[in-house]
Amino acid sequence: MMPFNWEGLPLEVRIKVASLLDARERLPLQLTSKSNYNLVSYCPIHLDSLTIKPFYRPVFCHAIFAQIACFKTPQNKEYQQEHLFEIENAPQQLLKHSKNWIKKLDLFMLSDLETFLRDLLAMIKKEKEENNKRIQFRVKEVEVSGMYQWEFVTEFLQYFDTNVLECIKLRFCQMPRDALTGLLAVEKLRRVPVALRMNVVLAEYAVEMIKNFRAIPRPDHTFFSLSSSEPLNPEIKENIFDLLDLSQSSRKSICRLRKCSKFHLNLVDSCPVFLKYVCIKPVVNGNQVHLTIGEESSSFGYLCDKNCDLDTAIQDFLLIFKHRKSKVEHLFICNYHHRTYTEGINDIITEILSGISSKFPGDFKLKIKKLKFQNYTKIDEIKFSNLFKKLDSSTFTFLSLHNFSIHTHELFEEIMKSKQWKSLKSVEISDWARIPIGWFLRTDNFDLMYKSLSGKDLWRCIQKYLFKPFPLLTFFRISTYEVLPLAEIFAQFDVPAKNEPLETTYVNNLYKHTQRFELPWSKEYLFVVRIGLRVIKGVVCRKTDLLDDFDAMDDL
Amino acid sequence: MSVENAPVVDVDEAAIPVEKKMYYRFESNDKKEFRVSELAIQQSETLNRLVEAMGYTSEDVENKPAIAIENIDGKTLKLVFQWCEHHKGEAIPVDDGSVPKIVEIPEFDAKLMDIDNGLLFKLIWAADYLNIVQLLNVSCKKVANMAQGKTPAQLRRVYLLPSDEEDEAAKRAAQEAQDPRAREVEEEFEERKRQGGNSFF
Repeated sequence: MMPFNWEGLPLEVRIKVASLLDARERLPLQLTSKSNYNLVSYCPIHLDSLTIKPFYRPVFCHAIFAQIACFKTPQNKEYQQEHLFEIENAPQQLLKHSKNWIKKLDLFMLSDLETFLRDLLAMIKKEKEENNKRIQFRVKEVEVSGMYQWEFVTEFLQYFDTNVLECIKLRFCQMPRDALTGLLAVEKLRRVPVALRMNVVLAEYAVEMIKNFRAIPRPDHTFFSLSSSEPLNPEIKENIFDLLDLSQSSRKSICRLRKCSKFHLNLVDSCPVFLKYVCIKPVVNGNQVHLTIGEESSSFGYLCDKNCDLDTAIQDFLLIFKHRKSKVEHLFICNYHHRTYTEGINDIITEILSGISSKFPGDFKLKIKKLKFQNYTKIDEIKFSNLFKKLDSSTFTFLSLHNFSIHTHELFEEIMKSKQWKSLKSVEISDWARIPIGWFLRTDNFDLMYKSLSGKDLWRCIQKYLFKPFPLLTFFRISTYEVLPLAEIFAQFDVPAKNEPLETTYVNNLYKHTQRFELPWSKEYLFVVRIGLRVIKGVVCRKTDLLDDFDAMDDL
Repeated sequence: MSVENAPVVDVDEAAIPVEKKMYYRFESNDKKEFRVSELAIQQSETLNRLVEAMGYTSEDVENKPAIAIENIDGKTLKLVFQWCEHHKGEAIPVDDGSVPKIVEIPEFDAKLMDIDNGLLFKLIWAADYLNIVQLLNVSCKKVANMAQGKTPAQLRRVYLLPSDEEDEAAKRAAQEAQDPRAREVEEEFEERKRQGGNSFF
């Protein structure tokens, strides 16, 4: 290809071109020279998230901060860049992003928040005075967390472009009433929903908050969440709800997320709940259980109750399903304390089953989409099978078993006859499977471990995808203890074995062979199979984006 | 070249309102002449202002000399006007500074820009000079696409990028070319250094 005279283009045009590159593509251009580094750095970028938080090192525990910028490529693949810097540079780092668009800005500053915000505000003012530069952060959602400091938050938030800002989340241990009232009264921020989460507050504070929210019209989705170290007495609760002056139906919707609390049963009834993530796990001291409801992988659930006895936790859990339309996207049952509490998972299953039979007699089914178990001890297979059959087959699509000792064929023979198994789209088992591979071939995606597998069996896995249409990124992966029989696999191929690695520059001895199978059912897709020493993975990929699609699930 | 023999860019007659049916004549720096509809000219802010300022009537357009565009050659100008005719009447995008900038290259534009890099370079210059926002957008996108999946070394080859050292050398050369005295001073400085002097002054 004839070279293109980049340097001959006007500067504005070069900036325009660089702005059209996504973050991942900008880096190679930045690395070509200092002038291009400066040019690319000047171009605004869209970040999915930007987090500035303390980064603890044993020696410089207060001196180091981390900035994690996250962005997505056009193929929707997520990338993260992490950058460490001294605390005094933190304001400068954030200021640099004032020309960027950020979907979520997360400032987690703990006790350093005050210094950080004070310096940042001083810099913003200096920019205005000396360079007549008006700073406006273009951020869709901002979350500020701090242990004690709040003074500068109100001022800081006024430097956000409210045409872009859609949500303000504040998480403090304490915030005096005046400060909060002042923040909520800022004219510019009134159109932006505010989510407040605070601990250690008095009931009177809550009453005042409600009055404040009622007095000033606020956008939809504005909410506050206050928690108290002292239990609220019933009288105060009644006062709060009277103050809210809500119709009965509104009360239901307010309390939807508290559905699992038996203390509010009188305020909760027939609204369906759709929860993303529910986790049930025994805690270290044995007979207690922790129930978390919220976003996946988040330590802050909507409901993150204190440890309670198994019976209470399971009763709360089952209340989610009181309405027949209620649904849980992901149920995770795990036991990390298997040494002290060997029967943890078995007890949870038993309690769920007995709860179902007492609360929901008849043909009740749990609407759970993904079910994941993590166990380290022997599972009661009959109980597991009974629970499996209590899942709603029209909802259930994914089963994941980690460290889940499967000792008999009987369990799988039993559950494979069920409707629930037939509706499964994905199976993930991270334990040596002792059952024939053929049993898993009816699910679209499977991720399994075997001691060893024959070339014939592996070919069956590949062949499954060749003659029937499957969605993009449908995949299988099998890890084995013994080395994979490469020659035996090649002998089964109905096309010549041809190694066509996806990467041209990256060499890894673990990858022995990459075969690209043409698919008679699609002109756009290929089925790419990469064979390593002890792992084989196949993915339905777009011909145009083989590498990105192949790595979309995870690396081999 | 006479008016009769001037190359005429394909025009969709039906798309042009009757009262606006006027064709302007433009001449490239290599004396190639083009007739372009008034509606197509609106895609170029520069040309649109120019013809407005001239206030030509239909007779003026035919009788007066073609409007000269002195720094664009005929081959490039032909592409520019083809693009303008194809996109005439379309809204001109406004850059609100938002990111990510999403620019799709339509099929027609992709075919039009299926040209060698030298001509693509000239096309971008022309789009910038004539201030044709959307043509500049798509041509820049084409250049951005050339960077996809490239390493820094590959980018240097594709974009003909100088290294830092070459940048510095070019900068020095440019400075020296601008100020011959600077070179003399530099030489004098080197000479004194060779003679063992520690300080220039």
